[in-house]
Amino acid sequence: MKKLIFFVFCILTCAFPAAAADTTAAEAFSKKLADDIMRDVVKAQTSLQQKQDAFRKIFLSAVNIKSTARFTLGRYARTAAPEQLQAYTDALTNNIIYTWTERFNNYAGETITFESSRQSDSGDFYITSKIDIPDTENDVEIIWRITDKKDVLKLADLVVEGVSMLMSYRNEYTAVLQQNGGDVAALVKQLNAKNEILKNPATKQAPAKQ
Amino acid sequence: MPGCATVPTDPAALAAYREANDPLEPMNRKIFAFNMAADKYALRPVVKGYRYVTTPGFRLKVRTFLSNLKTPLTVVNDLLQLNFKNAGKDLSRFVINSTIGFLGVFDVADRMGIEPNTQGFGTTLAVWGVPSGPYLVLPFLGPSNIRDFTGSMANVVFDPFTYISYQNDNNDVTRAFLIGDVVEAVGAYESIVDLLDEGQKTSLDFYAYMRSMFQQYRKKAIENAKGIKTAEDSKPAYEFSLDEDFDEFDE
Repeated sequence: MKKLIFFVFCILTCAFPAAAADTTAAEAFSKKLADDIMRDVVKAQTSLQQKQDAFRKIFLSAVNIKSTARFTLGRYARTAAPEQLQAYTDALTNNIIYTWTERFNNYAGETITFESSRQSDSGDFYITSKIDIPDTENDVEIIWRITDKKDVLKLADLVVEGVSMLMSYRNEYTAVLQQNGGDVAALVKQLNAKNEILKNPATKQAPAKQ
Repeated sequence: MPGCATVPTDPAALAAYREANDPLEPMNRKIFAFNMAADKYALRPVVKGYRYVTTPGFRLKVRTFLSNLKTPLTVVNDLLQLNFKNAGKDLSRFVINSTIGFLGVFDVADRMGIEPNTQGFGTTLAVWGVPSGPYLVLPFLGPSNIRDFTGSMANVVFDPFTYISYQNDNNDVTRAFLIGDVVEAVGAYESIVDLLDEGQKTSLDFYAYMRSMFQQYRKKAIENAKGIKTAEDSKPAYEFSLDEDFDEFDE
């Protein structure tokens, strides 16, 4: 029996040496990201502004923001001027920071459990995690899409219950662009106006009686 | 044709138009606006009242109870999808929850490791290979598509409970199931209303935001029904290619 186990072990380590290590690294990357957000944003006893700053730092080091911004513009990215792309990238970054910091701020601290990880044929890693939210039927499934470019891991997308954040931004913003004749400046203007509202959310309303 | 969008000629706009799968957009946007008004003046007060008189735990029990009544419909659809494994699981869920789960108030089966599963005829059609058809916004009911709309009407035919009330020729039973459906709709709406509010608050174009959410969410439900979970089976929808845009901007 011991021989058999040793034999299987040898085959497994020989067959998938690189893949195993990489999947582990990608999972560790996601876990660290979740831990950092939990420590510096969700559970930090700081002001909203400080939480936004903390999240901005974590977020910008975790993603390749230029690629992210470009993807969310769809084919409009090809014709946009460089300065328009830059203005859009800044506006999108702010939008993500304000929206998600507010979400984390309201997050009751339910724990996240990492369940499995795999590498697709294209080389990207998909790390599956679950959050159990009280008084709901099912756990919420969150998949972290991690890209590996020259041994640098980056968060490319977050898929919540099958809904890709990257694709959602792209679908919505290309619809806005379509209505504005493809004018990226118009989209940036709308995003910045929205950001002004999201930056300082009005004092929270008293929670609805449960 | 009135209510139809003009197909754009600009390549970027055409790409966005194709991705949205929404040729009826002008009509859909009008119904969407109507639904928003209906939400404000009719549905929201109902949700507020429902929340006022119940606790979150109680509301979960109501949803569990009513979804248990829909389990036979799920079993029928499992069979139509030739998914005998799920049919067995869902039938056991119904038996367990209807008995030791106090008529479905407690999801005992879930605690025993038999996870909830809901299947309608819309998903069955998708498993059979019927394409979604254009995106559709239904009055009061919200996002759908041609296939799912057809499926939801057919659900009445495939729900075993339809025949129980019909065969008994008892209006009280029919009425009870109708009330059940209304409460189920209120319960389902109540459970997502906060998500809708957040979407409305953060989005630039709430209509396009909802369309994207719905289409992606449905794709996942259909992939689940087909048993697609990993790349080995077939590629899940969220594994779209990034390369075209991601490679050019390596840092």
